[in-house]
Amino acid sequence: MTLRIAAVGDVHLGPDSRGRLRPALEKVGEHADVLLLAGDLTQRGTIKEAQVAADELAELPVPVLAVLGNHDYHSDAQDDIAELLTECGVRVLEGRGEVLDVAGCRLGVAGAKGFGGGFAGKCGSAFGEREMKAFIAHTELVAERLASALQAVEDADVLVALTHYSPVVDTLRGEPPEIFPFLGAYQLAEAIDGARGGAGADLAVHGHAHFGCEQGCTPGGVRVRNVAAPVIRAAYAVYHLPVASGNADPAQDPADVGRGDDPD
Amino acid sequence: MRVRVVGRTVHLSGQVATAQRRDALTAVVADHAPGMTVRNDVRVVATGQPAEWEELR
Repeated sequence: MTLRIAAVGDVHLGPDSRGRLRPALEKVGEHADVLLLAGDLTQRGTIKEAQVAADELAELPVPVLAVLGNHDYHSDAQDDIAELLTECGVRVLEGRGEVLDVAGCRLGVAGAKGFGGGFAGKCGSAFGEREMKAFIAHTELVAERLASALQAVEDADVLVALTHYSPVVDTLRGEPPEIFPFLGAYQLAEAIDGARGGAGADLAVHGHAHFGCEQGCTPGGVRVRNVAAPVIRAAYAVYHLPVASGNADPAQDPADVGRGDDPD
Repeated sequence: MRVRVVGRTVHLSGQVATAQRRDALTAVVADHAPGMTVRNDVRVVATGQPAEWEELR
């Protein structure tokens, strides 16, 4: 059995791009069982832009789950944007998860925007000025939200973490190293690796790093994919995850499920 | 976006969502740096269906 996941981030839609993604989105069901959106659906976070995104994403043939990105927060209209997307059927995840029955298995997706902060040995710390402590406090808060969301759906057969910011350095290669601390944070990887009692999620998907690369993995060995639109060079990337036949058994040890070692 | 200034030339690279945004970059840079040559190598992001998928075995 195979679960097919389509994913894209950083589409930065607006009135000038209305209809550009729609032809490929209408065909997404031929490629995948679910579509994940890794934030930055808009350019400047306006309702006008979000309406374009909502129209592009409405009534697609597969379930659509999304997190928002920093651009979607720019006009302080993130709550209205989330509501608009929800009305058109997009499941917006911010610190929460959902379990879907797709392709004969239970797919758990946990989402959070994430934030910057940096990576091991080259990161900010909650010390000194009030502003610096606030910055890192937000990093830690969103990572905790992601951890909670993962925990809430970790009994699913396949577990996916969806963020806008990156959990690892790997997928930032190609970006200037000086800005890595603004592109992601190690605390997100800790949340992803800590899921299922330390067994980790099955896949982590993020965007934000336009000049980065697609593939990476967390310190715990969870695959990470940067699906920023400029990186994947298509309307969406598609990943096939083998689902072990025993994964449908709810009595199975959660730490053993969804690793895809024994595909049908 | 990446902006690199070499002598009297401004090089732009990266990807944007539409051709309109790409062309607007040239106008913005020309407005802010009159007299300089603008080389706009920015591409419009691909929006076609994927030609392949990745097997995560």
